[in-house]
Amino acid sequence: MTTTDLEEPAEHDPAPRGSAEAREVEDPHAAHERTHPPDREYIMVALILGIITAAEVATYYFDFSTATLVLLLIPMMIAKFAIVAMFFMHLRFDSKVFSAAFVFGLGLAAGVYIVALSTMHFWQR
Amino acid sequence: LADTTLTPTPTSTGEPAVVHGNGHGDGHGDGHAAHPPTALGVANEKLGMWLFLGSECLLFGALISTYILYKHRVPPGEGPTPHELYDIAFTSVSSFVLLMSSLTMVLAVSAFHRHDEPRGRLWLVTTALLGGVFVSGQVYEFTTFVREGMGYTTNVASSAFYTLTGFHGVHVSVGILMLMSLMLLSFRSRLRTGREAETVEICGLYWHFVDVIWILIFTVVYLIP
Repeated sequence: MTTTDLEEPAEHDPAPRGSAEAREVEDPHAAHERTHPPDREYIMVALILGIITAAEVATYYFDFSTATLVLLLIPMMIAKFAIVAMFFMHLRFDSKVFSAAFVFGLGLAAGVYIVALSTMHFWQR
Repeated sequence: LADTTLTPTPTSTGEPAVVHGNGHGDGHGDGHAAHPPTALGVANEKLGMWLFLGSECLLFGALISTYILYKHRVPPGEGPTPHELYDIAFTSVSSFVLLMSSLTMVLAVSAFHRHDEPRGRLWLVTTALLGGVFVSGQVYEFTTFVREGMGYTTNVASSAFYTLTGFHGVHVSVGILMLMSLMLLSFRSRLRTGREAETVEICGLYWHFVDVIWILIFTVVYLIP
């Protein structure tokens, strides 16, 4: 076994020529390009977030009932949260281990505080 | 038998890439130094940050729950409540500024991934400035509220409001300090070659988390009556 053997694993790589894996072996930047979207995609995402925020603020100036406001605002809030987490925090592209770590904390917090609020009769108002 | 030593392959930046246990080098000859192999196959620093953010959900969950529990439980005559004093137009602009700081942060991470350090630094400074504008807005809001008679101990709702938004403001301020530290390290070339993008990305995760928490606060605290 020579140093050359260690340096050229691609010789044993079964990835077919022209495949995504083969391109990544040939060009290490390909993997990063795949995991990190181009800047214009981030700008598009920010634009969508801005539009949702404008819609949220607009609800304040209409005479909606509290129930209607909750029905309108909570889905918009969840959408914004998910978009930032998936695109800006890269959860959509990164390892599922990171998603699991974050979702576990988030789910635990939601569960604990829903129970806590229930014990204090918050939902019965 | 010629040479049986596992000599790390030098990268273009002169830093040796770490040779993994299977004998394969990092394969990133562009300066992306490899991580040592980990049990989960992900960087420990990044996983640590995600676990920290997961635990932060519990902190902010407690603060938000306390606020929504107490906001309607102010006895008459105990001073103004936060809902009577909100300036939604002003807070909307602050929210938009913080949202845009997430965009500039992700653009900074993207620039560092391309090894475009000058542009990365520019986006980092922009992010810190936007964060500064947000914190200044919060200080202005607090000052206005106190002038209008809603102090920290005026009633249970005001205490819960100041604690929640104050904690968030402290998090933004810590984020600004992290961004300034990154700038300093970048200028002094103290960020390890090939790992700078990941370091910026980990700080970026914290920044985006502060942003997503504000998304919750803005809706639950300010917009829902």
